[in-house]
Amino acid sequence: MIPVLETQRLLLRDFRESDFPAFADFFASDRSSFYTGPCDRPTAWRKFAVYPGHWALKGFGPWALEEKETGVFVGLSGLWNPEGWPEPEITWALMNGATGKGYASEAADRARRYAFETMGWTRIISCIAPENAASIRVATRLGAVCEGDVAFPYGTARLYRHRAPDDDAEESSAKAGTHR
Amino acid sequence: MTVNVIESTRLRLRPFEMDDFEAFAAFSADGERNRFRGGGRSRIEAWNEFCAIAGQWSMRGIGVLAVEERETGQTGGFAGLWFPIDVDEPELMWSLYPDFEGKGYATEAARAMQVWAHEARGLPPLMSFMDPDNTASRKVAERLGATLEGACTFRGRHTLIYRHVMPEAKNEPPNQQID
Repeated sequence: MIPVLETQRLLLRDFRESDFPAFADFFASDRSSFYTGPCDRPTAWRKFAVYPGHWALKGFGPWALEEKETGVFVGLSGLWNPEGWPEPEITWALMNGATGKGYASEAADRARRYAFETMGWTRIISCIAPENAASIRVATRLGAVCEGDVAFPYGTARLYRHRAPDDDAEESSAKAGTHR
Repeated sequence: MTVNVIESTRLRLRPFEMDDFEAFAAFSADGERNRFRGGGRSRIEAWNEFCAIAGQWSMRGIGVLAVEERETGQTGGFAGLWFPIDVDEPELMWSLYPDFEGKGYATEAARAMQVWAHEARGLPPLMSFMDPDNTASRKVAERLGATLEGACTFRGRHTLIYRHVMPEAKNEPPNQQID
């Protein structure tokens, strides 16, 4: 079973067939070029089915993101570790029309906490195409640090390493120090 | 979501697990063996397909299962109901790995799946797509009692449509369910 998580504005939940039209629209657009797209509808369907399959096989995976206020499916984010990936990563993608609201950062930060607090992981990365400026901004906003280039199944990516829970603790004690 | 385990005389049809991936990837890499399924796949392509097979169950409530030899516990292929978005009914499919051919496993797995589709899901007689040159699979379909219903162009390829009969026998022993 896929656990349901919440952030301020988003519900992180399982994928549903009713999410597919927006997903297919995304994969019909050039915006999907950093996610092995664009592609036709049948190919998009197979990509869509990969997410629940990842959960079934590995016990973790990406969530569908639902805008709490409207119930609209706006994207995906979660833990992702396909065959040949350098390390488990946090992935995110926003559907067409859902960008510019900070949803990717909001969801990915929740996924990051899930990885550390619920899964008990101690490290997690994101592989990002060097040209994907929007995703690099998200990673940077989350406090991830670029460690250079890494080979992954689709070529070469920038490896961003996310802040570990210890980093969060250090930052909050540093903040507490400032306030004192 | 509930994924079924279906047992027949010699086989256990059950969901794919991570331990099944190496054999699946090795099979998927073989272009000759996959000539009727779009050719050989890279490792990441095989992974995506492997995940999509597992994931279709939660989207559609039906799907494809690993075919395990009960006596040895080895996985010899996969069979079940493939239901992509561009087809309006599920397809009964089967694929066996090299060492598991010639034993009647495809027929046995497909028949067990037919019975399950009818009894557990109330599906009418199923359909199978078939490449005209895939004589081995056409023989399985005919052994199952399927008849050639027509032809179509599916994803750019001339494809035969076989229509299966309504299965008669119940699966033995009774099906289990796992969550």
